[in-house]
Parts: sequence; C-alpha cells; structure tokens
Amino acid sequence: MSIEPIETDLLIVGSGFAGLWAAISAREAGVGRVAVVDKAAIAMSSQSRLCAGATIYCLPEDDSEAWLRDIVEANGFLSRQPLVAEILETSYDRLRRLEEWGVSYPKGRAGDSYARIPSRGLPHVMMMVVPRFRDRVGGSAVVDALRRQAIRVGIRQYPRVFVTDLLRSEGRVAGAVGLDRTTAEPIAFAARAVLLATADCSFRGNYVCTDGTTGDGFRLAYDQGVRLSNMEFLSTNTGSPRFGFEGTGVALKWGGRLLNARGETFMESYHPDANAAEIHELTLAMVREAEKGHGPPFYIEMGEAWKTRIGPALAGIGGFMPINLAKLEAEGVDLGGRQEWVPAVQTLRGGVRIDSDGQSDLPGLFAAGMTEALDPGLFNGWSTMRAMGSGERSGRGAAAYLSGAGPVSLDADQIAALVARATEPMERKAAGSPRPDDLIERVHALIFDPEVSISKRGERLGAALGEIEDLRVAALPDLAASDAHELVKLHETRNMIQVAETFLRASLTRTESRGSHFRADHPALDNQHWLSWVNLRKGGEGEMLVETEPVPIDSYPIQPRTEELSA
Amino acid sequence: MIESLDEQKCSGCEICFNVCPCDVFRTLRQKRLVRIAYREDCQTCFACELDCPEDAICVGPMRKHRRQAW
Repeated sequence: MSIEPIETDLLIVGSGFAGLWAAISAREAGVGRVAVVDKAAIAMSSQSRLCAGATIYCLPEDDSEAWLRDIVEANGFLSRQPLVAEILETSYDRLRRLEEWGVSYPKGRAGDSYARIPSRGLPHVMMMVVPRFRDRVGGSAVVDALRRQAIRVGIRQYPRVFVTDLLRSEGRVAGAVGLDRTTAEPIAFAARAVLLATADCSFRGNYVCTDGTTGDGFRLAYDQGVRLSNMEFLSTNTGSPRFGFEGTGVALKWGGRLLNARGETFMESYHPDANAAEIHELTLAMVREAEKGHGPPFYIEMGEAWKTRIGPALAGIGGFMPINLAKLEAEGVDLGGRQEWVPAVQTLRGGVRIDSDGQSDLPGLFAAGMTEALDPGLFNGWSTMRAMGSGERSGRGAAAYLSGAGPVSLDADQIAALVARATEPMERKAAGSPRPDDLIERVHALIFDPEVSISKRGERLGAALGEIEDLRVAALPDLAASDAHELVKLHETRNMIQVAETFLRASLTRTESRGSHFRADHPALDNQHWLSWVNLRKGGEGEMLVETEPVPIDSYPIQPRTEELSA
Repeated sequence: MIESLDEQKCSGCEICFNVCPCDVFRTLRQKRLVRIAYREDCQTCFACELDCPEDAICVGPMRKHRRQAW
C-alpha cells in the first residue's frame, strides 16, 4: 500500500497546554506549516482539559529566587534549574497573553491583584485557581482558549490520529506514521521537525481521569534511541477505589484524616506534618501500616470539615469534581463519613532528556510538557505552568531549528513497513489470542505492587523487570485487535509496557531514596553519590542502556545547604 | 461509568463522540445517532454528559473495579 504523506514543517503530537502553546509560539516565530495531531479531538484527550487548572504564576512583585529555591528543593535538586528559572521568568507574560485571549482568574480583595493560595508544602510559591473562559471553569477553560488561539494563528488540525512511530532520515527526525482512531486507516506525515507533547504515563491506574496518559511520547522517543531521564519517579496519590476524587491533599490539610483498619489515625507516627504531609509520604505510611498488619483497608474521614470547608471548595474548582460530587451525593455517598481510601499511581515524572531549546538527542525531535524531563517532583499548580512554559519554549526552539533545517526525504519502504507492523494485529483475530486488556491487567499486577511503586525493594523490582521484559518480547507480538478502537489500545499497551521497563530499570539503578522514589533497601537520601540523573536509552541491539549524569549543581543558582549535602 | 444514552433525545450532533477522551462512542451517521460502543473504557470524567446539549447522557459516579496496590 502506498501512502502519500501529509507535508508539514512542524508536527506536534498532543494538544494540551504544552502542545497548543508550542503550536502558537512556533507559528508566531514564523514556522509556515504547523500540524497538530491528537489521539482524541484537539484539546480533548488532554490532562489539561480534565485538571482543575491551578497554576503557579510568578508575578513581577514576587521573589523569583525564593520561588526557584522552593521548587528546586521540592524536586530533590534534580531540577534542570536554568529551564525552571526561565519558565518562572516568562510566566507573567503568559498570564497576560491568556488574559488577552479571554481567560480570567479571580481578583484579590485589593481589586487589581490576583487571588492566590499557597502551593501545598512550598513556603513562598503561590498559585491561582479557578480560571474561567466563556462558560468553562478550570483546566478546560484554559485549554479551550488556547485551542481558539491556535486555530486563529492557523494551525492545521488532525484529530483522532494515534501516532504509532516516528520516521527518520539522514540522522534527523523526518515525520511520523499513525492510525485513524475510527477506521484504523494509516496516515503519514513528512515533517522537518516533530514535537512530542503527549503528557506522561499513569498506566491506566486508579487515579482519576488519567486513562489517556499511556506514555505514548516516551515510547516514541525511546525507540529513536534518545535519552529518557528521571524515569524512576512515579508519583502516587490516594483516592477511593470506587469513585473519582480529586483534592485529597486539600482535604487532609483542612481537617480530613487518614485512618487505618482499626480506625486509628497514623500519619503522626510517620511524618511531622501528619495528615498534611506530602502526598507520597501518605502512600508510604499506608504501606508501613500495612506491613504492621494495621490495614488494608484504610479510610479517609473528613467529618464536619467536609460540609463547612472541603466540599464547598471542591465543588467550585471546575473540571469533573462539581458534577461528580453532586452525583455521589445523589447515590447516598457521605463524604463526611468514613470512606475506604487506597494508594493510586498518578503520574510518571520522567521524560525525554532535552537541551535548553527543548530538543532531544535526535536532531529535529523536540519535547514539551510532561513528556520532557525537567524535574521529577509533583506539587499543585506546577505541572500546568511547566506544560505551558515548556510548550512555549520548545515551540520557539523548534522554530529556530527549522530556520536552518533543509527538506527531509522520506523512504516509502520505511513507511510501508511501519504501517504494516502497526496494523498487523487486526489480521490476527484467531480465537485465543491475548487481547490488550489481558496485558494491561498483568502490567497493573506488576507495577501496582506496593514494593514496586511505593516502597521499592531491589529484589521485587528485578523480578518485575524480568516479567515485563517477557511481556514485551513474548506476549506483545501475539496480541490481537478486533477493530480500530482495540488496535489503538494495543499500541497504548505496547507503550505502557516499554515505559514500565524504563521505570523498573531506573528504579533499580538509583540506590538511594529521594522524593517519590523510595527504596526500602536504600532508605537514605545520598547527596554524595546521587545528585545525578539516571538516563536510559535504547542501544543498537534493542538493549536498554543506563547512564548516570551528574547534575551540574556547581554551576546552578540553587545549591543544597551544607546540612542537606551531608544528609 | 457511563450508564445510558437516550436515543429519543439524541440529535446525532456527535459532540459526545468528539469530547470523549477515551473513544467510548461510535457514530451512526445514517440514523443521526451516537451509540455507546466501548462502555468498559469510560473513565468517568463526565465530559460527554456535561457537554450534551440534549441532556441525553447519564454517567454514574461509580467506576469499574480497578486493580491497585491491594
């Protein structure tokens, strides 16, 4: 089958905050043809649309150095500091531009300043909440405004296209092939540059509204031999096993309590901040309690604070929570009472290692948002700012690259081979073939093991790694798909298996504990040896290569204090 | 998880098909209808119910059983 590629200068995969900002800034920097593809409709699949939209903006009156220190410390000093500083410095301009495009944030009492609240656990950093645009509230307000602006500046939209592989030619990226999500028809793009903005990987776990984040960009980049970084940092959160709930952190800060199976509070035994501790400390404490036989089950109890403070706040944040809470109430679920609460894998904080323009190791291949490796931490309002700021920077970086990059020539045989491989599972309909859902179950069993994702042990990581490699080598090639929907799920499964392998390999490599990476067999923070990034890449024989790269901390503005260095 | 799509109310505008992040719907163009094709992949984000201009969709707050930690 011969496929005529769609020609473009820049192909952007993903259309959330990062992808749309990248598209806008690339067009403004003079890129002629910018094509945006998304596996759902444009701006619809994204975490951006489903999040509450809390965002950290550093205003001119803020002490940006104090903010940078907060963020770098919360990231265990693994931040790429110049890039974080740039995002903070440019954030006020982005706020002003969003306002020009119609987004509004609530004003403070003084009238002209903004209403802001502290980001959980950070002493200086403030965030804005409840953005509005037309009749939208929350993340969907911001992403809708960005989509309109992107259309205004003339992007080309390719909705419901799932990218299965990147194309390369003469040592550069040269485009991508994908599938129409409704028909499974193949589609190819000839692109002089490609930018990946496909969020992160949640393994389709229990955390709310993250089923679309299946590590697509991570795997696309990994297969090109470029380095991924920080893949050992998998953030866990907590939530109900029965229904979606966003805001556990707020609930526990405002009077909610976690209880063990005996009905006792336990966080005060594990952390000085007790129930207000960082999210990953909560899941870690749950695992410790479970080891003592004090659970599961675990519970959350919000009591009176649910009615007086927590409930009203969460009902006003936009996103899915207001309707969700109304429906739960109609079902008779009493959130002031005792509810079972479980650990939930939320997001893998690693990504594509990039340079200061957002470019990966492969010329012409860029990344932005949660798909790039910037810093491994997770705290309120930073992911949204990171996504927007990195999108703007990488879009501009791609434009600079394109101004000096010649045309690409595509190899029709390369396209045909990749398309044949991508669609082949549709021909394998024989009864008894494993299906994507079967493998997703097996990935869950391996990754959601508390000794793999929360309180990691080398032995368990090693065993899981062996099993994941088996899945990739032995089970994946036999998977069958009955239609386009299942074929896309199959490719998502392929991506999650590859990402799981990088997570396990990187987790085994980092023999210390830092942030959300806790090794029960190496529980101490080790700044002497581990102020380093773990980088992974695919070698020429398909093997996974591991390197550690020291953080150039001496040349960075924020350094650990003496007591932190000896810790 | 999504519970129902009322065919009497559905105008076939396909907004739900377009806003669903999880590809749960399929369109039946000749009949100007949309159907729930992949209910098990619904992530309970309520996007379709919130955006349906005909109030034809009902999503329940309870999700399917998912594997997690214990």
